[in-house]
Amino acid sequence: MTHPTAISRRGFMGLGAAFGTMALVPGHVYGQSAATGSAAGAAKLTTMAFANGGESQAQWVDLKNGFLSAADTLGVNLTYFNNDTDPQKTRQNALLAVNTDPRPQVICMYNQFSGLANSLSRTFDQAGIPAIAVNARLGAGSHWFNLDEIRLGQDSAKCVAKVAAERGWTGENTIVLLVNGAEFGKEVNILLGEFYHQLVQLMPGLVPIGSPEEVPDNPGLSKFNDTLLQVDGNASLDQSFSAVSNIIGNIPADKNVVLYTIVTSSTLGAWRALERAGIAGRTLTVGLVGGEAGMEQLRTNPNWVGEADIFYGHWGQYMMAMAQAILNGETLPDLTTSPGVVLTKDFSLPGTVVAPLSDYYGEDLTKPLKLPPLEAMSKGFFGLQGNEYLRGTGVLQQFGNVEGL
Amino acid sequence: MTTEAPSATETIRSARHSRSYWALQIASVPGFFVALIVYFAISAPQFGTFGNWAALLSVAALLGIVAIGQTLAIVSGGFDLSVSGTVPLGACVFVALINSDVAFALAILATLLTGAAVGAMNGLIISRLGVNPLITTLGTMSIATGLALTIAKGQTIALRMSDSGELISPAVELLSARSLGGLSNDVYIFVVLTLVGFVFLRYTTLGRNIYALGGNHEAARLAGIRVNALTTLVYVLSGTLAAIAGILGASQLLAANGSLGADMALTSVTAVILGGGSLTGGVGGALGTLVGVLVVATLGNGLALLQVSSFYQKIIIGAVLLAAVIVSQLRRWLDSSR
Repeated sequence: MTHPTAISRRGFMGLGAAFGTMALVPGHVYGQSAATGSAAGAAKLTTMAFANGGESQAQWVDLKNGFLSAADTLGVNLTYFNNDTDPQKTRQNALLAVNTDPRPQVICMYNQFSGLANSLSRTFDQAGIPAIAVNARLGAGSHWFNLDEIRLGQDSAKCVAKVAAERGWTGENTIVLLVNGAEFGKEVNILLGEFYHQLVQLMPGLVPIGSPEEVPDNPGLSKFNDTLLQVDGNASLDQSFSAVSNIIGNIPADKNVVLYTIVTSSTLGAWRALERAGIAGRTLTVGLVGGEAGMEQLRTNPNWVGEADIFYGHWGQYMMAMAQAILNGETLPDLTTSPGVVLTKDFSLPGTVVAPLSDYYGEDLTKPLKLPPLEAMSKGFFGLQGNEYLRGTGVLQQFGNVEGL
Repeated sequence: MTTEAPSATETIRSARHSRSYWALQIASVPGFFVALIVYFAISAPQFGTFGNWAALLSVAALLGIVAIGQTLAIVSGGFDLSVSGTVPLGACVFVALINSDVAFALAILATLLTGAAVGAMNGLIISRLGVNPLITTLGTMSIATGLALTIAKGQTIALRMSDSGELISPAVELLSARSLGGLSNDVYIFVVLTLVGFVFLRYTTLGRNIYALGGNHEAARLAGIRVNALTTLVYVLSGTLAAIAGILGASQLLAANGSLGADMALTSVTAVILGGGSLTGGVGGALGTLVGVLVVATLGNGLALLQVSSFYQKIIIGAVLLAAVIVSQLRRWLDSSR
């Protein structure tokens, strides 16, 4: 299935293998070999190919621009492709990328189609070119870069719960409205399950669900229980507006609403429907990857309490650092995480990635002042994850924008 | 002159035909629409509330306006897939102009001209070059969508606010704000445009010529109708109406992006066919399309209120479309055999 919003897809099928890989390399110190740059004798990254998921969403445009800019900074010869949310084009671009002249040392493939994983990885393997998968992984053991969706879902819930508690909201007087992308699959909609599952623990009175996976496992279900409604917004501004407009009648007049969706364009549409129905005043929401529109809401809308930012425009520099680590011969973790924070108007929460907007942005909401510190390696859902090992490549230091480097 | 008395067999066949005919009339789309309302009103207590109907009609307004243009295209013997690109293009052009401090009226005019230009391109290619409407409007849909994405730079562009938190052009929100009787202005705009479409098709020479064009292109040409100009006019009107829908969409959402209204082409064709239009041309009308639009919107609303799985909603809406087309065909067959 396509996912126009560029939110991560997870290879649940590869979970066991991921842990298997972890078991084979216990105690490996990632990035140990290159504390001051490339390992002795390792090739320096000079050529690379990048196939983007598309160009029809803000995130992809940011991703492309960031890649081109990072290539300029590092002097890397970058060949760019656009998969255009089309599986045929994705496959075709993989074939073109391995035959690019000059030959890329590493290929970055933004893949939205988990079913293509075998075909793509075979193409790269046969060409002998290492690949970095973005979004959907290319099979167990492949190099994979993605956002930490579980953490963002959980920390977004903590952010909402704090503000809700300040306003005296509890599970007794609140319902949660999730706007999913029913056709986008479990890999995307798991975010919503993580959000609600976490919120139940923080707002007594919300009716529990069995596990976070219950939400993505039932993408067509409209009502899970008395405190959890779900509609299909197809990750789209106008379809989310229509979907929420249609169920306004099912929102009890005496209940507050917590709104959460899979991407901010969807949140904007749903929010507008609630606003027109006169419900926005008793609604709280957190956006996800909203770009300037989401940031503006966070800045100006009192009930838009958070906006998760994964700094799409800077993914290029992280993947180039990752590519250098591959050339250095390092063993990469199962998941190299993207930078990610949940920005708020003015507060942070200990032990989370929740931080005030002013920590990361000034007046210009398109250019972050800095990027969050690298994350130490930890055991996650897919095995070992983190990005601290990138420090050793010396690549990120050349951008001077990562906190602590 | 002699008349032959009908045989007993013919009398029985005629009576059966008559019963079937009226059964099909009742099962027709207006009948189905009434049945839907009754069913949802009984099954979902919230369905009959004024607030729900206000929301339902506001959602239906955008589709309805696009569907009026689609009616013109289908009655003329073609169809217009480019509306799926013209709606987002109109929305993005409008928001971009407003955000650039262009005067409200001027922004509307420029947006309407943008829609008309897409329609003119369709009409000229179809009429002058003889290219199939499917191919033509598929191509212009892609061009218009690409332009919309380019203008929005792939982003969702929100209408700009002043430092005081008000829209820089408050008139934009008025287009879809609650108005007389609690309904929003976009609903009234939809109703007015539907009535204009009805009068235009039914009572003007141009409108009747569009039926003639769709009924038999060659006969219309031989009858002196300027078929090329008329075809172009049809697509210009369709493009302009799609641009109006884009403006209203931006007003409802206070934002626009390149995928706004992306499903409009198929949904509007569905509404026109439900309303009695025929893909062979020469048949259909604005009031029928209004019913088709209301059926589509009511189904979506009622099924959502009943908390029917979104997957089943797609199945049900598809099945209803097929049933409506089959009933429509049966009625035509019975009409011609009476």
